[in-house]
Amino acid sequence: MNQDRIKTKAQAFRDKKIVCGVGVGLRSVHYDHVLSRRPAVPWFEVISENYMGLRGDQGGRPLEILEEARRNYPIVLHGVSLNIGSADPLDKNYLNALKRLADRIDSPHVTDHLCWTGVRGQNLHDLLPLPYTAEGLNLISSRAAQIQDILGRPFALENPSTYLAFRHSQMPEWEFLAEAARQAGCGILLDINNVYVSAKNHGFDPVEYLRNIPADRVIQMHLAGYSHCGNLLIDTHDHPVSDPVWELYGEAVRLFGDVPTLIEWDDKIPPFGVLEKEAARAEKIRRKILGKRDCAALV
Amino acid sequence: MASEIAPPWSKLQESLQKILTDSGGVNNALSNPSVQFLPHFLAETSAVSARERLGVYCDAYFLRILESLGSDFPTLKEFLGDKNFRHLIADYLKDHPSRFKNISLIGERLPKFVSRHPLNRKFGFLADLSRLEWEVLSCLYRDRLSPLNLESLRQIPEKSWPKARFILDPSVRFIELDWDVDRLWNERMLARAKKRSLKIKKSERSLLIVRDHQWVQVRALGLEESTALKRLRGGASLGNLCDFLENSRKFQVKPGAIQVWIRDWISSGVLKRLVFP
Repeated sequence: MNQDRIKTKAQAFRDKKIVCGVGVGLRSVHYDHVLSRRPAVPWFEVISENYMGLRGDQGGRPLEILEEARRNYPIVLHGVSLNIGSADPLDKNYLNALKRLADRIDSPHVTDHLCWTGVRGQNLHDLLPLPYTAEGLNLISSRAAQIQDILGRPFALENPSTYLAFRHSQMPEWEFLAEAARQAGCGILLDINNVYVSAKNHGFDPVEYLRNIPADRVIQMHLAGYSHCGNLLIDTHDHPVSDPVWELYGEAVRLFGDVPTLIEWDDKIPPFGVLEKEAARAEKIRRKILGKRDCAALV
Repeated sequence: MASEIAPPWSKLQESLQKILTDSGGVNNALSNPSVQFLPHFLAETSAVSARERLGVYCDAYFLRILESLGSDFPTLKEFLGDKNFRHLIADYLKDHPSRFKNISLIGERLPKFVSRHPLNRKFGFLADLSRLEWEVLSCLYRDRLSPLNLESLRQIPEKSWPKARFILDPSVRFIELDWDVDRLWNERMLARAKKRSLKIKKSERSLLIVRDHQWVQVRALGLEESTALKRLRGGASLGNLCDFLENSRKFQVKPGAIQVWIRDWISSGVLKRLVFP
């Protein structure tokens, strides 16, 4: 990857602050509330696949809702089926559909996970772990660069929560993610809850993880809740953000500065006011560390 | 561990996929010699073994899809109960693992699968019910036109009406069923005990499914109305339709019925445009 190109792309992330502050995931149970009440949320994130018109190019009600929401809010696309780490080739049809949607709603950037979701054409609808090897690094970085070119806008890789690791990994996840982003010239969506969950599941220091992520690559952060399952933590996205994760988020804000943050809640979704409270708590942490900031969410 | 003894990327993933999608669980999957190498490459701690870690993903695979299909086929799930629905979906996934990017598409082949499943032999109408629920879901993903402007209709000269061709909303779907499962679907908000007491009967019917401003409407159509709508969708003019119904011995359409239908079709969002040659 050309060094000038990498620097140019890194600068582009810093300059293009189209979303800022603390956003919330837009889920179907809140559609009516968001469209009719217009809550004071600076931006939303949606799951790309739900709106991509993958049923023969018709988007139907979900896409209508999305477009109506987009009239009042910036919206960022976050996918779960990119399958960037799969032994299968990248799905060009999927990428083209993703680009069409991103253009349609003017998503400032697009994100998906550092993982694989299936091979031989199957989709397990889960974020499956990768070995962190030199081979994997070449695969991920070249694909991330390709994806970003196809999408025509910044692309960011999210660190997954993982429950197994590979003995033949050659580097820790933070090193792999940082280097993949550097080589690809892409961004990082840093999920603070996933850092914490993976740290507990594999026995590493979550703060060390954060300290090894290049600040100029982090274009968004996620916050979510987890559940306990025996001796493991599971990234269930069905609980409030836990106190240790709030603490880790504070560290992340100190390290990475004014990065848009999203409250993710995907299961057992509470009333919208609960998400707003979580967002308010995140904003309080940001203000305490960064000082008061005007949130000019540019459309 | 030296990287040169690591399995090829594709072999690692194919083997892991095989383990995680085994409906018998991790231990059953690992009884297959072709994947027994895999745990040796997995890190484990004293607190959590490699098998337990695999088990997390294995459970998640099935539970995530079970939950998604439960949301897409809620009436079917409610009728069968958790245990039978789980059993049905486990069998379904064995035959039809997902190949879709969108999890909401996984149920595409479920109605056909249900038609051959022992549970359908037991209850008789499950295939029809699952077909109905799939069509409802599909309807939601179809685009919808804006409502017909009633004021503009009033300005159309009476003599022009026989040539009028109606455009149905793109979300309109017709399905033919053998059982009156639409009763169960329309009563889906009832308590479970009351739903169980609904006796679903064998009753051939034509159903109209169409998006409205909130969700989806499902309505049984009489033979005449069903025929009328399908002819209109096929391009027949209003005049052609009236002639057809008048001259057909099969149908007995009461005077004024067509006007009532048109009014209902417009108010329910079925009819969306009028075109004149």
